[in-house]
Amino acid sequence: MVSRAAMAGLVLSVAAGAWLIVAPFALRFQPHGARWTVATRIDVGVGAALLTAGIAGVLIAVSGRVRELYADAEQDESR
Amino acid sequence: MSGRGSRYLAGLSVAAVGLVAGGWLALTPYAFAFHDRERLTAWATGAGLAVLSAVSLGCWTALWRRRLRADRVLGPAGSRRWRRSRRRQARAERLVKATRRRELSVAPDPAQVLTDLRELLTPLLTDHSLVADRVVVQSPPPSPLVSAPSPPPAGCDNQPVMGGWLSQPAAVAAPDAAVNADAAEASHTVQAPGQVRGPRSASFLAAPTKELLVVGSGEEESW
Repeated sequence: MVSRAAMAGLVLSVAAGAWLIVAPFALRFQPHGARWTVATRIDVGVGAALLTAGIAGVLIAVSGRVRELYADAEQDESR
Repeated sequence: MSGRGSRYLAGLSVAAVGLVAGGWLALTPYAFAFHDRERLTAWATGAGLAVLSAVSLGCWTALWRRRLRADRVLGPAGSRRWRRSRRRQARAERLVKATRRRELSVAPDPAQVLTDLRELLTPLLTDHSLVADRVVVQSPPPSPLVSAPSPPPAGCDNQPVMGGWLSQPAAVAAPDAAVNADAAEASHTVQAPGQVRGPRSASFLAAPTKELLVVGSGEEESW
């Protein structure tokens, strides 16, 4: 349960980053073709950072979990 | 960092980044004077992200602690006794390491050891006075009672007794038999200072021989 919640937190971080990138354009507070406002720049920057970190975290967490499963399987075979 | 630890560390790092980003997003509308819609979006997203990241941080922390307990790196939750015993064990190990004597880096030369041993033992074997000072050998006195039993005299009831024949009633003959037994035993007694008197002490206090056999270092030497 806790493990699933932790993984869900990582996925939601990725989703939050994606939402922050898209939000200025989706909510139309960034005019089309105009120079980016301060709010847009902050949202896109923070969103990009969150998206990158979240994707990296998900990949590392999944690979670590798979490695644990392999190690447990090897221990079961050795017994 | 082990593979298992990197997984939890990555989760914790992402959660921490999310927490910081959420706090930043929650504060920027006030710092940069955002408009209504921008402020609402930034504040709501930041607050939600901060809460989400805090929960994620707690989950990853709990997961890592559980894993460390399973690997016996951490003790039972909240166990003071476990921590105390672990500190004591570490202190004892340090003490043992500090008091442990170093072994010889180079093994002693067997030939040199044999030479030293020979120098120590040669005076003991050649000097007979040392042995004579410590060992007193009592020569057996001539005892006619211990010699071959004589034929039974007249009036004897022909019962063989230690050292002779029973020529009188048993109650009278018993002290003489005891005296004879003591004399026979004394003839074989070897007494040494500090040793218990008895015939068994003669086994290791026998007359010294001229030969010594040294065994134990892989090579035998006889001289």
